[in-house]
Amino acid sequence: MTWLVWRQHRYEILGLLIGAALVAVGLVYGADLAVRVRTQFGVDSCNALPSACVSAVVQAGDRLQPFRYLVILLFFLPAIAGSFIGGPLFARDLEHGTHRLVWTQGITRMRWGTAKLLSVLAVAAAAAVGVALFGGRASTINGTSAGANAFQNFDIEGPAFVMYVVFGITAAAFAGTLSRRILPGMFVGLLLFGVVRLGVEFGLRPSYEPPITAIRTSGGVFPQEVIITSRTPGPAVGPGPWIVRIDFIDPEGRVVPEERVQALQNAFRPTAASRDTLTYLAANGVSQRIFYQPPDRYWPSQWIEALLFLVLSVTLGASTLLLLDRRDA
Amino acid sequence: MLAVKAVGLTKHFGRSVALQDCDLDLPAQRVIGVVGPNGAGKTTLLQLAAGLRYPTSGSMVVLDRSPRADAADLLPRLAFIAQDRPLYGDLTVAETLELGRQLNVRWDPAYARARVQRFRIGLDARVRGLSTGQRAQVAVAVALAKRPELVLLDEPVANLDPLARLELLEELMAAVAEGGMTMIMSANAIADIDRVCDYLVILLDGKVRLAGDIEEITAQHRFVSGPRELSFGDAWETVDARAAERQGTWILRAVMPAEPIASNDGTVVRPASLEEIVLAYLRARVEVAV
Repeated sequence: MTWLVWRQHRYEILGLLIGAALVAVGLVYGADLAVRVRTQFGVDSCNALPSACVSAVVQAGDRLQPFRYLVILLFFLPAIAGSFIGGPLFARDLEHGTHRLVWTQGITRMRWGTAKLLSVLAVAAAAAVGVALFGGRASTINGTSAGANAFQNFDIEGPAFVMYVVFGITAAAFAGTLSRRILPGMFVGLLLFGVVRLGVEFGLRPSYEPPITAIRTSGGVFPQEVIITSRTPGPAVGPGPWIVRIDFIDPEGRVVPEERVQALQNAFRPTAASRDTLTYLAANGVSQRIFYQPPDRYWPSQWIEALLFLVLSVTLGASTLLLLDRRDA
Repeated sequence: MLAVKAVGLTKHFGRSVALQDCDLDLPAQRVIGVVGPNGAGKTTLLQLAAGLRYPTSGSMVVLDRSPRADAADLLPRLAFIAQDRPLYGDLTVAETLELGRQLNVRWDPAYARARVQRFRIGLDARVRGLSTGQRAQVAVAVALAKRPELVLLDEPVANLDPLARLELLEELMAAVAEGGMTMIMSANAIADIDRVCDYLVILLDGKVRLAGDIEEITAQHRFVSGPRELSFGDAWETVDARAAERQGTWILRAVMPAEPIASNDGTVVRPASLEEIVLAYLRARVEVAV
């Protein structure tokens, strides 16, 4: 089977490995370049002159633009790889009728399917690891400050990224097997991947562990800034939290309706003495409550999400093999 | 040993019936022809035997094994060529043979190479570029090089020109002559069956109309032509009767030891040819349907 898998999937395999190597090199080089460019244009040492600062940031940004696109591409890589590799994996044979050739040789469909799926997934996972190790360089390329949201690279690095790739391929392989057609396999697989991937990101990820709450009665517009710069005595939240939700409560702890908060904000007139919205709201008995995940939960969350996608992949992979085995050819 | 035994074999595709309650005992070491009109269930029968499809009900035993439960054991012992002779177009002929070697426990590389080279098929040629006849030869080479005990061929000579058709049938016969092999082939042309098969199965509307040794079948059937009011008694079953104004022709089958029907003035009795017999069974349906 190894020979056949290599012969029939060598372009996908080489594409995965070379593509992953290029992306990894791009990330490392881009991050390195970002450091040099920022020094060259003095991006980090231009606080004195705001206008010069803007121009330095813009100039540095121009130089780094290709690598910022690369970072954006990272978000879509699992979907693309999944659709293009998983979609035709079994559907090509089923669509062209060649399954009737291979399934009547000396090995069972189950062995054939398992060998194909596992070898391709192994190569894809290895390639994904190569990318996932360097996904974190995105912060350097984008020039994010050290205290920013520690979860911002969640989608493009670590075990979760590897499992997205595995799941993407499995989902498309399943869809292709179910439909017995390459294009529906690719398309439905992509759709399935997208729905699950975004559903998990927005539905589950914020609460792998119950978020911690903090009450803020003063501060700037964006909580992170306050916390990072610690210009104001903010709540006891360390740097780099991922704020998953914000609401407003009254002194009794009841949630204040959105309209009331809006009305208060509209009524607020900043003066030289008081420019802080939150202080004004607090004076009116309304405090902001933030729900956040602290940075030290980042890697546990990564592993939880990776495990989740692993379980989904195993389920879909097993269903695909069962479909191959049980269904009429 | 039986090559294929089917009991109450039934296969439905949704609401359409491909096979209904088929009982078959197909002997081993024979060349078995399966005939019937399009849609009679020939392909379904072969695919069930190859384990590509599973029966809706009833059972099928191939070489004493269940095609589904014992697939790992049975697959190395049988070969199957589907009607469209599926091969990977982007593989070369040599790679196609390598595929066979890789996926089979038993494989005779010298045999496979000799076969394709005899037909002047280049080993480095892409399968996509082969003619239909060459493609069929490569498919047969892959099927036979695994040295199967049972070869299932779904219309092996369809779409071939007369010469390629003959060459392929001769190849298959030569392989059978080496011994130890059972071959089951479906065909549309009765001439092909007549040329190579010694056992016949007639499928009609998903049912087995007739199955048996071709010599016995021909011995059992008579062609009669004579006045249309002729009758033949209980010993003879009328398979097909065609009547003109005064004359009629009949294909009759002896259902018990029978008095021979006498030829006399205006009545001709002779053994029926295989083609007449097959057509009689197939036509019987048409007339019922009309």
